[in-house]
Order: sequence, then C-alpha cells, then structure tokens
Amino acid sequence: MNDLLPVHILLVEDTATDAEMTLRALKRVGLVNNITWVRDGQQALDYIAREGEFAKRVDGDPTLIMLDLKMPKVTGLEVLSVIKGDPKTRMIPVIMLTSSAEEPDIVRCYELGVNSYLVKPVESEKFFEEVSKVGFYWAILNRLPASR
Amino acid sequence: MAGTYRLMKANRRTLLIKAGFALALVVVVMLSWMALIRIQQFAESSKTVVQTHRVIEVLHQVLLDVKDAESAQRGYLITGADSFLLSHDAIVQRLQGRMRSLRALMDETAPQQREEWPVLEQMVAQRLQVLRQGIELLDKRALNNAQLVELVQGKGLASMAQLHAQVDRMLAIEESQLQQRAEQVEHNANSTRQWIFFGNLFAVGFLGFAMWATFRESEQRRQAQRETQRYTAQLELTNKELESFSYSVSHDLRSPLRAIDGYSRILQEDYEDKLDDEGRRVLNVVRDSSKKMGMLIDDLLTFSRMGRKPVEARRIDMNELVLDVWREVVAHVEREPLFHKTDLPVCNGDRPLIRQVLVNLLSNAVKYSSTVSQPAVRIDAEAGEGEVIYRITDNGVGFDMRFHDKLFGVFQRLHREDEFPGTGVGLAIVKRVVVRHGGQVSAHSEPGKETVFSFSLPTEAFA
Repeated sequence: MNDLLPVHILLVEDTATDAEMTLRALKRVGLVNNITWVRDGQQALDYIAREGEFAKRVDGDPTLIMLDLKMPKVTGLEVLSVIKGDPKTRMIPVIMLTSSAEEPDIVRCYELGVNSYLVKPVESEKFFEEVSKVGFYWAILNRLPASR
Repeated sequence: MAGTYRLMKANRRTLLIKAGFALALVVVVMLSWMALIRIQQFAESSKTVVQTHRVIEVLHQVLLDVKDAESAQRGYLITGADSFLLSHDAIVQRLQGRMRSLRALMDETAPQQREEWPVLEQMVAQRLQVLRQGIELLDKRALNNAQLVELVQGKGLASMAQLHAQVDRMLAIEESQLQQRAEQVEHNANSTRQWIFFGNLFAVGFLGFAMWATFRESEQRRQAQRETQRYTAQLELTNKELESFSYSVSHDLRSPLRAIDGYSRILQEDYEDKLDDEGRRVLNVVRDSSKKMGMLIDDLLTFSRMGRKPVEARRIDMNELVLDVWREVVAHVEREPLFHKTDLPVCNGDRPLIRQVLVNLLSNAVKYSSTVSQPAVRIDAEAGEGEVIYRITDNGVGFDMRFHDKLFGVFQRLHREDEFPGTGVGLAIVKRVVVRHGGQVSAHSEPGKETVFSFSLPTEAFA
C-alpha cells in the first residue's frame, strides 16, 4: 500500500454522466477527496504541465490518470502520447476508460505505453464494480517509485 | 443487372467475330483454289492453241510443197533438165515428211478434222502419182507435144483446185477451233475476274465486319472495366462509411445507455426508502430496457462486423473448435445438456468467424433445450459433393416450421422474450458468415422432439 504517497487521481472525461458514475464508483472504495476531474484533453495537458488555467497549481503530480479516448479538441490518444513521451510524466500510470472496443484503438494505446485499457460496460452495475475495483488496484494497491 | 445482359450480348458478338473471320478465310481459300484451277486450264488451253497453229502451218506448207512439186515436174517436162527432176524428188521427200508429221498432229485435232485427213492424204497421194506418171512418160519418150501440153495444163488445174479446197476446209476447221478456244478463254477470264472481284468483296466485307465487331468488343470491355472500377470504388466508399458508422455507434450510443441504467440505479440506491414497490418495479423496467438495448447494439455491431471483415480461409480442426466452444457455452449453465459429438471432418474457413457460428448455434441448442427434462445436444457431420455439412441437433422446444423462412432474418424471433431471452441476431450472423464462406444454412424442427440446424462449408478454398 502506498502509505507515503497521497492518492491523487486525475479523471479526464468529457461526458458528465460517465464522470459522475465514475466518481460514484470510486467513492465505493473510499476515493473521494483525491480526485480531480477535467473535461477535455486540453485541460488535462494544462493541468499536468501547470499551464493555462492551472498555471497556479501547487499540488503534486497525479498518481493515477484515468483517460477517456474520444474527446473534443485534444483526444485521449494525444494526451497519452504527451504523458508517456515526457520523461517527467512517463511513470504516471495511465488507464484508458473508454467506450471503444475497437482493436486499432487498443493497439495504438499499448503502442504508446498505456498501463491498462478498460472498456466501459453498458450495464451500470458492472461499470460500478469494475471502476471501483480498478481504482482500488491502481490507486491504492499499485506501487509507484518514491522519488518522482 | 445491365452488366449481365451486356455479357450475354458480348458472347454472341464473339461468336459473330469468329464466324466473320472464318468465313473470310474460307472465301480466300476458295478463291485461291479456283484461281489455281483456272490458271491450269489456261495453260492447257495455250498448249492446244500452239498445236492448232502448228497444224495450220503444216497444212499451208503441204499445199506449197504440192505446188512446188508441180512446178518442178513441169520444168522437167519442158526442159528435160535433171536439176528439175532432182528438185522434184527432193520436194516430194520433204512433202512426205510433212504429211507424216501432219498425221501425228491429227491425233490431237477435232473429230471432224480427223475425218478430213484421209481425204487429204488420198488427194495428195493421187497428185504426186500423176506427177510421177508424167515424169515416167517423158523418160520413156512417150509423149508427143499435144500430150505434153495437156499434161502441163489441163487436168492438173482441176485436181489442184480440189486439193486447195480440201486444205481450205481443213484450215477452216482449225480456224474455228481457234475461234472457239479464244472465246472460251475470254469467257473463263471474265468469269474468273468476276469471281475474284466478288469473292474479294465478300472476304473484305467479312473481314471488315469482324474488325468492326472486334473494336466494338474491346470498347465494350474497356467500358465494362471502367464501370467495374467505378463500382468497386463506390463499394469501398460504402464500406468505409459503414466502418465509421459502426465506430460511432459503438461509442456514441453506449454512453447515454450507460447513463440511463446507471442513474436509475443511483435512484434505486439513494432513494430506496422513498420508493414503494411500484416505483422500484418501474425503475427496474427502465434498467432492463437499457440493458436490452445494449445487447441489441452489441449484436448489431457483431452482425455488421461479420459482413465486413475479409475472410481468411485456413484449415480448421472442427473437433477441437467444437469442444472449445462447448466448454464456453455450458460454463454458466445450471443443467449441462448431454453432449454427443461424432468425429468431424476438417473444413476451410476463417476461424474466429466459424467459431462465432458454432457459439451461436450451440448456445441456441442449449438455450432452447433448457426447459426439457433431459436436454441433449448432438453435433455430427456429413461429407457432400465438394462440401461438408455440419449438423447440430437438440431435443428442445424447436420452432414452428410454418415460420421457417423468418428464422435467419435480422431481429426475427419465433419465441417471446419472456419465453427465451435473445435479440434475434444470432442466426442472422450465422447465415451471413456461412454464406460469405460460400456455404448454405438450413433448419428443420419437430417441436419437443428434434430440431436440426445445419450449415455447409465448401471443401475447396473460395474467393
């Protein structure tokens, strides 16, 4: 368990209903106060880089990024590419949380170095269960290097 | 389709082209053959003409010779000089030689001529004899002046005239032969000219037609090719559009569906105490409906993917695949049906697609026999002509054969949702995949007793 590092999840999701359900699921495993929700790729990049509207951000880097694929302006793939391309942010675990089960998308994400790929179930019960499990695993169980 | 019609006409046109060329060839060959024959005839004609001229020449010479002999004899009678006698003898010799050659020539002349010949022969012989007699008389000094004069003039003239007439007659016959021959040659030449002219006209006509038809043919081909290219391009475009459509369906429709289900659940959880039984029931209906819609979307997407993916045909070990699928299908089933599998022949096909077919058919067999006390499912196969037919049999509720046609339609179901769950796409997917492999599907049912679903796959690799 990550006793030392506070959990800090960045949720990048443009659909409000999906975001709300994700937050609710994470709430089931106690993850509530440590979640930041941004609504598109551009905001995500700004947040990580501490630019734009997040220029004055003082808190640390996210310890987990949950990323949707299809978003306006800057897509999930582009965000993923930036995060994994930058040595400073490369080690942050990124989980794709998307509707798309299309093979080309999955392949592309893994090529860019995604840590995990989840397809959002349509059935909400399954959705809640999966997201809470995954959240627990990656945000709480999973170990990250202490020095980042 | 217009293309098929054009193809039929093209076949006929190819036949016409071949006929045109063949006829042209035939005409040319015939003309050459005819020309050769005519040339042969002409050559023979020439020979005969030369012959005739020879006869004419010799006849003239015979006449001259007779006259010369007579002159020589007269000279001798008048002068008694030996030179005249020698001359006479020489001429007679020459004449006889000519008569011999004339006789030889007579074999080749007209029958009419051959009848005249003995007459001439006799006349000449007679004349020569008379001349000879005169000479002998002179030698015997048996002539007086009066007899001499008579010998020199008189009878001689009459018989000479006769000889002349005879020769003229014979000459006339030869001349008429020449005339006839000339006319015939002229006639032949004319008819040959005509044959060659019209024959060539026909040959050129056939060739021209064949050439025109060939050009048309290749033009049509090129056009058909262009159309095919256009059609293919359109098809590719449609496929791409279908691709992006499925993609957006897979993403855009699912999100709101998830929300419907999710928020109903939130309602159920957070407002549990504020809801009565009816309220809970209504919310459940909402949730079930959205779940159903999710399944429909999934099935539809699978259905469309089955039609789009290019089929990669490989050898499939059906024994292994069937066992693998069966394990998956009965994994969460309460009562596992009795399963019987015979040894299945291998087939050629796209493994994931055929797998889907087996999944759908086997899970159907399990589902529709689940209400029977002792459910049993059986799979066997039979080799046909150039194909293998696989059969899946179950002893479940089956279906009403009257609605047999609807079985493989998209979203067509022959049972109610509350009887047996399902979206009605499974069999449509089966049909689509099997048809794409070049096979056929069929089904037969005796409800409660035996229901058989079969599909065939060709053993040969297909396009």
